[in-house]
Amino acid sequence: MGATVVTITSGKGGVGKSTTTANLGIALAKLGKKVVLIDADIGLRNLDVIMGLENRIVYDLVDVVEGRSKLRQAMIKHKQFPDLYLIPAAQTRDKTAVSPADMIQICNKLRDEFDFIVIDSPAGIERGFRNAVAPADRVLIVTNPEVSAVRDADRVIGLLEAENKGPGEIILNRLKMNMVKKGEMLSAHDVTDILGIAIIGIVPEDELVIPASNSGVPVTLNDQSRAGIAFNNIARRLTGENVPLMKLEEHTGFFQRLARFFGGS
Amino acid sequence: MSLWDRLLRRTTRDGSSSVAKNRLQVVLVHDRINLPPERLRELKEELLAVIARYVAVDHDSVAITVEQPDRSSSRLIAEIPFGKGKSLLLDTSLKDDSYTEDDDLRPEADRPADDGTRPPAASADAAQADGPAADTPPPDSGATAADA
Repeated sequence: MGATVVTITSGKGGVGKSTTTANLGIALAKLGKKVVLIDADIGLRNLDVIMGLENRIVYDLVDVVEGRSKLRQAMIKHKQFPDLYLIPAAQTRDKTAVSPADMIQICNKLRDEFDFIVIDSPAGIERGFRNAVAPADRVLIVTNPEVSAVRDADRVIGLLEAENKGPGEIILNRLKMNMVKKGEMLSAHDVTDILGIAIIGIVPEDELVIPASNSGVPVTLNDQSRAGIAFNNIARRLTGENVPLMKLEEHTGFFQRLARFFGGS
Repeated sequence: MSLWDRLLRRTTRDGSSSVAKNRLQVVLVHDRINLPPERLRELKEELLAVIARYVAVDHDSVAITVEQPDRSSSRLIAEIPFGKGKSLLLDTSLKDDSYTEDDDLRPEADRPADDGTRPPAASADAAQADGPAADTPPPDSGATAADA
């Protein structure tokens, strides 16, 4: 049996797929798992910079598919976790350079050696998406609590069901609990209600995420980060552990609320 | 919000999130069956027009909706009440000069006032009592179809 292939997808771009992939990779490695991340976004390589591994790329996914390098040569080892690898996307090619069958074959070669293969899907529902989903045992759909992202997530869920890969599980990313409380943002409950599938994780909006990407050190490595805690919890759920969904209450005490009340806001 | 609610910061659900949820729920029904709202409206009108060719329809009480109990099953639910008391009487089945036993089957109230004195009971009945004749579309759907 070997590895579980987990594909991170979304439909809509910019919802945090690559950030999620990088952080789940780190979080799974922290749990002692052997992990390989595959950037399937050919032509728009990004997972390498988020992971801080961009300077170490020699070969990429397309080089492997076209036989210019061995699979092992394209796998970049993480600086801090010797059991965490990245297979980067090609930057100068397009999605048609790889086929769904290629992806299945590559994953099958890796299955014996690893616990998790995490694939970062490109946005959209075309070839790149089909490549990323083809080898998946589990599909995680990243969405944000806003209408466009949720609608696209629903479309993806429908396509997954049509390919017998469904229904998938939702990662609700960038939730702002203070806005949910004001009734100005869809809640996790709203999103499950609308999409009708389970949530595997809720990641709060966290200002530490962008500095983490800036420096190529995923936020999961920062113990102070609430988003990091959320990613750690998702990783534990992926390993089969039963971790209750995070309580995302803001820490506002009675006196703060009293002050806000008299302040009129 | 009351003072007490504001102090306790009770959750309110009247912000834009409930609007978002409602809009999404409607749009996803159409996305999932690949039938945009305008096409569904046309479908309803055509369906009603066909039915109205055979029976009188109580247009004010028609309800045609898409039901989606879960994401994998959708169905069209149509509740189309017949026009009052007219469901058994097809206008085309009666000739002007015939007085059939069917007339006696109708409820008393439905009969024309001059029943018995004038043979063409059915045509008088159709004109008076129950709205649209068989082959003319209902006024409202005719107007909207023309708009479209």
